[in-house]
Amino acid sequence: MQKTVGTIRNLTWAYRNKLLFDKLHTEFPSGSFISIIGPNGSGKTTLLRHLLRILPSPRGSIVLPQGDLHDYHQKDLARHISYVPQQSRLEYDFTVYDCVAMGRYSHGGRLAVLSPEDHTLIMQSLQAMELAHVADRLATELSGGEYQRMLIARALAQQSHVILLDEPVSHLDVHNQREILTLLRRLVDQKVATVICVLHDLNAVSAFSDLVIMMRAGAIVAEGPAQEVLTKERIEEVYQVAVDIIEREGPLPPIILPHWR
Amino acid sequence: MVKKHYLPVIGAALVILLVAITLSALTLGPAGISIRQTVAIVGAGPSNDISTTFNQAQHRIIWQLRLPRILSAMVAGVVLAVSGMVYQALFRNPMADPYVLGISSGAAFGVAFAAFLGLVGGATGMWQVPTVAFLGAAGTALVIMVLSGGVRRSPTTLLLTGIALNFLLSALMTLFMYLNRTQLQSIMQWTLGSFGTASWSKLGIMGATATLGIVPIMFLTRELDILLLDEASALSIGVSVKSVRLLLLVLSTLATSVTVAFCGIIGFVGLMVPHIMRLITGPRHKTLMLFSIVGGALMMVGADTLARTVLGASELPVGIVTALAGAPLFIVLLANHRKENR
Repeated sequence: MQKTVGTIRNLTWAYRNKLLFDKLHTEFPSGSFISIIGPNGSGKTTLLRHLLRILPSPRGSIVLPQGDLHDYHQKDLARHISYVPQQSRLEYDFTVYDCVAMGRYSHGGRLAVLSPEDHTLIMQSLQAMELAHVADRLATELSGGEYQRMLIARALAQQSHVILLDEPVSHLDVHNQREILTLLRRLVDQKVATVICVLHDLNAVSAFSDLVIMMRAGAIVAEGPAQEVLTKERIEEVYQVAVDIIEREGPLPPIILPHWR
Repeated sequence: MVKKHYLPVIGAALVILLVAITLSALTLGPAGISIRQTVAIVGAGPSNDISTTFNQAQHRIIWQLRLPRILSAMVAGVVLAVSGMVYQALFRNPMADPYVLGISSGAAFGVAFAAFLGLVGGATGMWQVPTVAFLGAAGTALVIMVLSGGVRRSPTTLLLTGIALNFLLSALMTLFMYLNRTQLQSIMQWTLGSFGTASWSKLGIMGATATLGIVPIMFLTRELDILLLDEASALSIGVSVKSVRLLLLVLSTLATSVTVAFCGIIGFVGLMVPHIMRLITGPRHKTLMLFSIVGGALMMVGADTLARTVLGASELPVGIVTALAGAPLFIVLLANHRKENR
């Protein structure tokens, strides 16, 4: 059996008397690129927020390798799961290096001193995200794509087993989207981390993921490899949009084409 | 932000400036003591008052009046500057400071209320005043947290909450003054801020609580940096946001309230110092805190010396001096903030 980085068991969650999740169940296999997809309001971000323990405890349980999520110390949790938020902007003039160095917090002691190993890891993370040349620049001066890569570098510096990303590319142009998803794919292939990513672009999902979890109205409607989940019938039913699926030769993923009009 | 390798030089320059200002503050005044005498008196120690260079009266002025006063100003400056820095990070709001948020008023209100009820003053011990001040300040901090919805609401909501609380608390204090005219002078003193009643025993209590409040914050500078991010990011990096914020709030409120208990409300130091220092150091709290400590001491000793000497024989409340310098900066910040949010 494949190892898992987390298992969700019977997760039930109501917000303002509205039942959002009813006995949700899934697991996240280790070493995979896992995409969570579904229409707006289907509960993708809420699911991520439960994994990050930002929301009050739901019923049911989220089991991580060292026990229940809610028994984890905050720093231990940070060493297991890191997070790249949807679209955060920094209002303070931290340098790129300082921002990535924050990722070392859960590994550090009481004093705000970075060890030589911390420094090496920060530089490696920056290099992995092709940002070493802007280490001394202010984070507020980065372009959208660079900023997003900096957040991923911070997650890398955190040395967590899992990186959670909430729509990391939805506000970027197609070049930056592909670049960031390729870098994330590389992290999975090099066994650096398991990636769990909320995505909207179904073609990107099909091109990069090992496992797709499709949600609708707080329930998981399908999970499995992209080709199995992303069928014409299911997409049309879940998204209420007609699509064509164009097969391509060889190992290339098919192209999913929504009917715009 | 200044290049990293210049920081030690600027830091050293600020420390030298602080020493120079302290020496001139000790020397300046109607008693006509020269700087050489001042150095000799300080060097002679607190009990050795017989010398050829100075007389007993001069020794008394320096050791019993000016030194405790200047050291009190330093402690108050450090406390208010560091508290301002902490509140700015806690509420992720560059305009937060103990005065603006109403926390200083809360402390003064606590003292005024207890004085009105006859619980403090006279024969009661030294610790009553700081205790009621802390209760008043902590109560106000709590109200701000609840009314402004923690940090989730906009920065403006927080400021308006602080301003509303300031209105309410100062109205209540005016009411106490009106109802109890015998206490008028002493309540007045808390609302304007002064180091005129400083003494070694008060300084001891102030210094002890300042140490208790400020030293632990030195070990929380990484957390302060991370608290500037959104809450989800801070949590995912490993900071227990709720407990760290509560701890920081208690520490800074403790230090602030005791300062207010003995020196009254001195506005805008907590706003100005971290702001000016952030221009030099950048936002990292490890350096910002050290610079704010020196800067706070520097600004308060300077402001108090100005308050004490500018009118000749009579004395200005130091709160007026800091408000005259700080309020315009606050308006500039507010204008810039509005521009950015447009």
